[in-house]
Amino acid sequence: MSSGEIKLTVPEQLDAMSQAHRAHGEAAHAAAEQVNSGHQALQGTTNWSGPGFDDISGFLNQFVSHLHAFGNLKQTLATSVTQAKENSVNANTTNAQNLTTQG
Amino acid sequence: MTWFMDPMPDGDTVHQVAASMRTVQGAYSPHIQTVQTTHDQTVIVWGGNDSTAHTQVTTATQQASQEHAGWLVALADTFQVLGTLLKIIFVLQMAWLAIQAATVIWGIFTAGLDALVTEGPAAALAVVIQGMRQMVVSLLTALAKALASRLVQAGVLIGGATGLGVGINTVESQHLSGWQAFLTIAGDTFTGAGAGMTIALDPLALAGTGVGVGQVATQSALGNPTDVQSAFNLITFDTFAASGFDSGDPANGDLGPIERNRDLSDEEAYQQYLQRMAQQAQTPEQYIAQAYQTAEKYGIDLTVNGEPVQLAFDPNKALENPGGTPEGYPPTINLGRGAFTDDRMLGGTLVHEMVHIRQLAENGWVWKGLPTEVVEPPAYAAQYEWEAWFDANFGGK
Repeated sequence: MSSGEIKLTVPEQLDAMSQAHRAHGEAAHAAAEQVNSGHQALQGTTNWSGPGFDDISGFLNQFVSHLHAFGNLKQTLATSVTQAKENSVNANTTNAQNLTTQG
Repeated sequence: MTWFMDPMPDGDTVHQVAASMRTVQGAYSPHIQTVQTTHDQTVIVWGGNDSTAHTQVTTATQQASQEHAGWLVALADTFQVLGTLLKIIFVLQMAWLAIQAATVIWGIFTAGLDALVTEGPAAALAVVIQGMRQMVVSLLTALAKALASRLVQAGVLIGGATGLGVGINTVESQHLSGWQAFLTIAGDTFTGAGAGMTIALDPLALAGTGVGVGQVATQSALGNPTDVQSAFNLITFDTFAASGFDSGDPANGDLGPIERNRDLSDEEAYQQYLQRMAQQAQTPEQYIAQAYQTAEKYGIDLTVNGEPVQLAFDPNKALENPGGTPEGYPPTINLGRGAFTDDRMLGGTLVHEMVHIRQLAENGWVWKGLPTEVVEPPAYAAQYEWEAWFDANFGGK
């Protein structure tokens, strides 16, 4: 589902929102993998060690972990939005049933 | 082989990693915009407490995402500069080796009579290489320090988002947009977050005057070397003059200014430095007592051929000129107020000047026959080695 247009209903819009969060989370995981790959390439060069080099290696390790944690958070957020959509659908169904019963 | 000839990481590989960081940033950043656009559309049709909580979390994660993009840009730019520096160092190392080879060949043809002709250029190159290696360390240390600081803040921010809005106050209190955050990173990185150094933002400036190598070496690294003599002249000029070094004139009995206040190019920092030096003013006797105490504290040998070296305070020395070594006997080191900036400066000055004392001792206590380009490199090498030891053991304080 495209996220470039406003959906007519809350469920459709929340679907789009969930997908955007999920895609962002996947991008964070992918970025983490690529940063890690670059770090490994640097560590594979001669003498990538010592003051300065160890510092930046430490940061890159933290950055990779951080991006994975962020990716997990966005996946959780996507799931939460999906849950909100389902709640919205259930609430609307219940309301419709109530209206039918009352009618 | 001397330590400064130890191989460094391959500059081409570092450049490739820089390019890959750009690619990562290019793939990651569009998701930030997509989430923002989708969110803005969602709030049009979705209201209530859940929607408000979602907006808070999305705001927090968007802030963190902008930080990510900024970090990737900073890493890419810094690795680009680093790769260039490493390539320049490699070129200079090859030049040093070439000079050594030339010395051997020239010595064969002249039966060793003119071997000293190449000593000056080789020694000057050694100093430049050492300075550039230190520059690489400072660059990476400063970057890691600045980015790690932001990472801690982002960690708080994500923790808040997980708790559905707990960390929102942190985001709001920062009042930072993504690019403001990045500029903060860049500012911290390039204006001296580490080791009090001023590092130019422009990569070419960084690769040039910042390390005293100048355009010649940059051109060499880019595959456009000038002739050896011109390169040597410009490198030594940049190293000893443009970046604050003043070789002085040994014939005057004073080796001249020894630049160690590398952050003094910043006017504000310089004024603060002047104020601090004024506040620290002592009597000449107190200055000298402090120098002897510092030498003893850090185990700096102030003797030559078993005899003690005298220390004298020279109130007329400029702040940028912390020490000097006049020819003549008995051996004496003149110290100006600039030497007393801190223990690091004082110790480095004493180590530097003691090299000159030993050079004088071997040359009959006169500077005649000892050109600046021969006597200064080993003095700076000893000074830098001691400062590195001091930084490692005393944190640069």
